[in-house]
Amino acid sequence: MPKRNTNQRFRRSGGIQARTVGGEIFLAAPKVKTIHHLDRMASATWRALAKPKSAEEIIELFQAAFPGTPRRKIAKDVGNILAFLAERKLIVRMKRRRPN
Amino acid sequence: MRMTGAALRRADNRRVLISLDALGWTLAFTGCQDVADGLETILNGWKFRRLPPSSNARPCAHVTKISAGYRWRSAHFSKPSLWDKHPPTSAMSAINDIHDVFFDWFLKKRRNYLCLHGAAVRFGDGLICFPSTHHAGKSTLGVKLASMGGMLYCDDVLPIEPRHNHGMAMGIAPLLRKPLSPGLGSPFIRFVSKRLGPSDRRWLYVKLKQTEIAPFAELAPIKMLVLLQRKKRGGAKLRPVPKNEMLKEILLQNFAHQVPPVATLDRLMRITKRADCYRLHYSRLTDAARTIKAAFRKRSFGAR
Repeated sequence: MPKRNTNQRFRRSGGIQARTVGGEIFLAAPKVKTIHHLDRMASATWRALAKPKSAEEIIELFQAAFPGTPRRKIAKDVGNILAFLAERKLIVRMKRRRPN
Repeated sequence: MRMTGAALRRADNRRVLISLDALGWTLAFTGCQDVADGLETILNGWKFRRLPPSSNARPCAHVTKISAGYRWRSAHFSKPSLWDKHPPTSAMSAINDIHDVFFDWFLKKRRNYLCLHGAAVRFGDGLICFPSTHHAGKSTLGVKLASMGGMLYCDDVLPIEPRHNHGMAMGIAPLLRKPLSPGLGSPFIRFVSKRLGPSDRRWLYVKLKQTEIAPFAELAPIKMLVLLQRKKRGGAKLRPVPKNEMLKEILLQNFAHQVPPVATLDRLMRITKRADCYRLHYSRLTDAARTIKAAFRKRSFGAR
């Protein structure tokens, strides 16, 4: 299995509409014509992506919020969530700028 | 008067043309008048009309009885989904398949309607909706509530109109699995046996009276959303369900995918926010129906 690059930055895809109900987020994606429900952790990840972030930055955020949870577990969960969101085109990987 | 074999065959092969004026559909049946008769029995408020054989109306679909079952012909209207793989072998299954395809036709005509899998019953001016959960008894509970003064809106599909997001009655007789379990209670079995519609070995339509089933296109606001959950024993219990959980359920039960996703989400959110959301755990039908009816009545009085 290829190792995930945790420094790769992600941003929300354009046109996605989010609605919050009972602390959880529902996303409507008009381009791909889908609606998704995000559980608490995925909702928190979506909120964190209000500004583009890397997996590493999101893991840091979650670790500060849940200091009792092992970092390895948080990293695995965040990786899975980002993969889920990217697969459904709800977020996109940002292109790296080439150094001049 | 006795008919000869040839006359009987001619009568059997006669073409029957029916018009469902509520939606402007015409259907033709050849050699299967029993299917047309069955449809007339199960449709309420569809403005069912028999056309004269000389009518030159072009049917949306033409069903013909053949030796292997039934043949379907239609140029622009979809065919029942199972018709190719498992063509109907009895009038009852042909009626059931046509009833099913009507939902597809309906959504093609009313493109801004949402459609939820579920049952709904009106008490007073509001609907109690039971989003579909597998084998949870929504049809049986719907019929039971109709026997207790409710008006059945649907037992399988609830269209949602676009203006106020009210539920719309389909006006199609409910369908129950056979045999009816004695556990449903003798009053319920008596109620159903006095209203037998088309049936076969496995299924039975319940021909409800006009005071028990709402006609096609009647509208009412959804005031309660109730998820059904059977349990083995014990009394019925109604427990509140968080709005996000209910929204998740009804999103899954919506099969009208022609409405844009943002509009679908916003409309279903509005319905969920307006309605009281519960899960009903029950083992006995009568107990479940009484609990639901009492909770709805309490809600209505509380709202005044």
